[in-house]
Amino acid sequence: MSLYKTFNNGKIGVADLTTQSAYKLDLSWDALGNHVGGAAMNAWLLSEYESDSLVLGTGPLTGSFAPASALLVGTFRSPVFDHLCHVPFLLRSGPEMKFSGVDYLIIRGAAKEPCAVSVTRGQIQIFPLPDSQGKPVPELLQMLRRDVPGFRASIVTGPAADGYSPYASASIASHGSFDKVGLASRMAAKNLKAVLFSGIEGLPFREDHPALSKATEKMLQASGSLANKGFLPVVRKLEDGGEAAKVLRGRLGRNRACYHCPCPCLTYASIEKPGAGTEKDGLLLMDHSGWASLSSKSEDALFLLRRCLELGLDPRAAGYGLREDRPLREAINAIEKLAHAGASIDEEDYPSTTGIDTRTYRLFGGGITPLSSGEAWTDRVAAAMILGICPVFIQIAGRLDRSDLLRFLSSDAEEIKALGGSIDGEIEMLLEGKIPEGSV
Amino acid sequence: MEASRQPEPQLKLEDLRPRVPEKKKFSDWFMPRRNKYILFDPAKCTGCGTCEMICSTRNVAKVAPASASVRVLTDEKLGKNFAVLCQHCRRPLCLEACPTRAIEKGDDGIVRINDLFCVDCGLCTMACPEAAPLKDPGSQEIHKCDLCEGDPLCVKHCPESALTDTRGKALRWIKAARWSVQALSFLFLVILVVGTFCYFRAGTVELSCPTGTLQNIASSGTLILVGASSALALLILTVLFGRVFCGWVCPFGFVLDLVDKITPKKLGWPNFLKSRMAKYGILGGAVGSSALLGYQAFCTVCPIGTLCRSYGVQSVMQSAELAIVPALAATELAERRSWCRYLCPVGATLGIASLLRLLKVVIGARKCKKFSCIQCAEVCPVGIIDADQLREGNSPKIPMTECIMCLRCVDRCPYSAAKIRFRWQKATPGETNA
Repeated sequence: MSLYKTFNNGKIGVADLTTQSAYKLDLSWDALGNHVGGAAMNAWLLSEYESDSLVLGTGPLTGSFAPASALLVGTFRSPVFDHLCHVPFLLRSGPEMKFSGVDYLIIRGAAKEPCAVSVTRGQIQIFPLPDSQGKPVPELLQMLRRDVPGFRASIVTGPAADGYSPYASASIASHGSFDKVGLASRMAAKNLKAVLFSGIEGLPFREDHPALSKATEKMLQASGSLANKGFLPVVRKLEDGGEAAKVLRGRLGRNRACYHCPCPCLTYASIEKPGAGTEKDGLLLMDHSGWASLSSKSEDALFLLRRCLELGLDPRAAGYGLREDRPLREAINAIEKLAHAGASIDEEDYPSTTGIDTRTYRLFGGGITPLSSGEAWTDRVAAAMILGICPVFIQIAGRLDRSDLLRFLSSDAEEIKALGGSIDGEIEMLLEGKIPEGSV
Repeated sequence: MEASRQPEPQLKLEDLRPRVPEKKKFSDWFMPRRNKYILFDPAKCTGCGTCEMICSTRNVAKVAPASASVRVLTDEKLGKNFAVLCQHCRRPLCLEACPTRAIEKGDDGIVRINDLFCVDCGLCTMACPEAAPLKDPGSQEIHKCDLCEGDPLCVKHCPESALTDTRGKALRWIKAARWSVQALSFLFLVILVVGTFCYFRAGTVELSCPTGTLQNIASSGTLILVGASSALALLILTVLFGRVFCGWVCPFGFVLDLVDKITPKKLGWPNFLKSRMAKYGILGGAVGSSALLGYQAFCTVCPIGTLCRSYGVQSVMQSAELAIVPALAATELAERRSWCRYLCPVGATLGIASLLRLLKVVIGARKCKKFSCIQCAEVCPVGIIDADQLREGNSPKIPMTECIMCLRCVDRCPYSAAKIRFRWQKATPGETNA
């Protein structure tokens, strides 16, 4: 379908870790026309390869002038739940992947030694990372910057994944992610420590996009959707969010937005460095529900969160694993234990939330902030995961409906209607967990 | 016979791309042109990258943030943002560095790269203190902000209004007010009333020069309370507002400023004489010699006093005194206000009094664009704003004992970084530079 040609590179990258080889395929425009993109296209691509493969993909709007077009979706068969899961990655990971020259990246097989996959200007390379095992995430990133210079976005795993902890979570650089369903474990099983993107190419998109984007932003501003910016207003809307917000009093700094997002919902928090005088350390608060869980267990939640991020550990699971009112040192020890093999996982530790079907919640990574409930959440999040829009933003911007987003794909009303129908069908497929039909 | 060959004249870069000197209008002497530039507010920026997106659509006709002329760098720990973008400097270093003279500064103040001549060597990137000409990692071309020819797209599309296009604040009234006050003071102290600076009495109000009073005490060996108290007025003024006398009132300072306007090019002050402590030595010498000689020794050659005594309507017109003012005003040919910087004992007395000052001038580290601007250092008549510090990216500390409170820096700073503060205040909340 020619509609998607300005929104995609038309390339699929394949990295075979077993044979340490990589190649590119042309994207089938017909298949894209059927599945639109994002999670739906990922699911179809995964059905064409081995079940232990990992597919990273972008939506048609990823990287475009559509608001919050930051999404990269990681699709895989979860080793924890044994069904397909789609994990959203935000900040700049989606656009960087798209601008690196491939729309989808299929990672097959497993390497003998730890390695990283890098995509630059459409070239896929596999780098060995012999000394990376067990390294905390910041150290691993330092090592990557030294060995694979020039990358602009990264998805990495930490010692928790190396130790096969069921609480391991993949991380966007050192900021964590919404992965609560074992994507990090899947990467660890492949001996894949990092996926790196360097988006130095670009895509034309459409000429009317900047004006359309500005109009959408003005519409959202007028509706009051963009009134409450930052991490705190989002946390307050969660269950027990009021208590979680209290812990952050006086510690919040600047807000951070994902790619082209008019409503930043991430905020930096500062931590006093012990023995460093007035010098301050800090971290980006990204995982709203993870923070809510962790901060309900400890006043020192910021220290614990930082340790979780260093270890590549899901902070929400860590929050569940902690007993009430532990001293900081004991809590850190408990977290270290969770991050290593031997820790067992209870059914109640699996991600779930009230008001949303548990299976559906886990289907989309188990970490997407539940700002709405029931069908509204499912419908909006699933559409965002297909189109390449941030699933948190789409809940915050309540006034923004699907047709507003589809206007970025087409200016023809009939075509928008047809696209809406396609997306409905794909959402149904995703929710039922069916393998979509189609052929290359 | 073969005719002797004349060597063919070689074309030089100067022939092909002659440097066009900056045109200065007459009005620029009074109110320099204020060109547009983009002001970045790091406190508002969320790092969404919209500026990079929209900029790249203009540069390469596609969304490719890596090909933009603006880059937002984020400190990943505390989220502090820094935008790398051209500041369209008054004296662009990129322009000087370009070997093909592809970089031009237009009459509108916009620094542009002429693609016809650019060979993408990247020397401009290295020369620019902001590293603002950005090399496209894909095509290896150099992209640099041209303000979208006056209507920057990044400013229009920034969702947080962190970028604004501005011509700087229109705060040039301080300069006009200072010239007016200086002219009035000159008229009052020199032309209309004779000897008022050294000693002035109107009814019960008595005012006198503090340096003269010190010499008087030393030469007479007695402390006359009335005389001493009359000198206090200027000292109290200094404690309250700093050395405003030197910057706003001193008639000899006004003469020096006029000479400076006539002779903008300076010969340079000898290095071995470049000590601001010299004026304190002269002050000590003046007091000491007054004690030895039994009269106010320095007052006989004081340019302020002689100006008041010899050049007014009722002037004494002593030929020797007449020569002192032009002789000392000639120091202005060497360096701006070099008399005030290195030699003036009156300034030294006020400098000591200003140790107790209530006010200070600060240059806020957060707003100051430092190396791209340096306008404060350029306009400071006493040269106490360290341009090298600014070039190194630091906000300079201003030694207030040397500052004559002319407020030229406050007036000129386009970013509102130079400000007057109480001495106990920080430059801006959270800063410690002052």
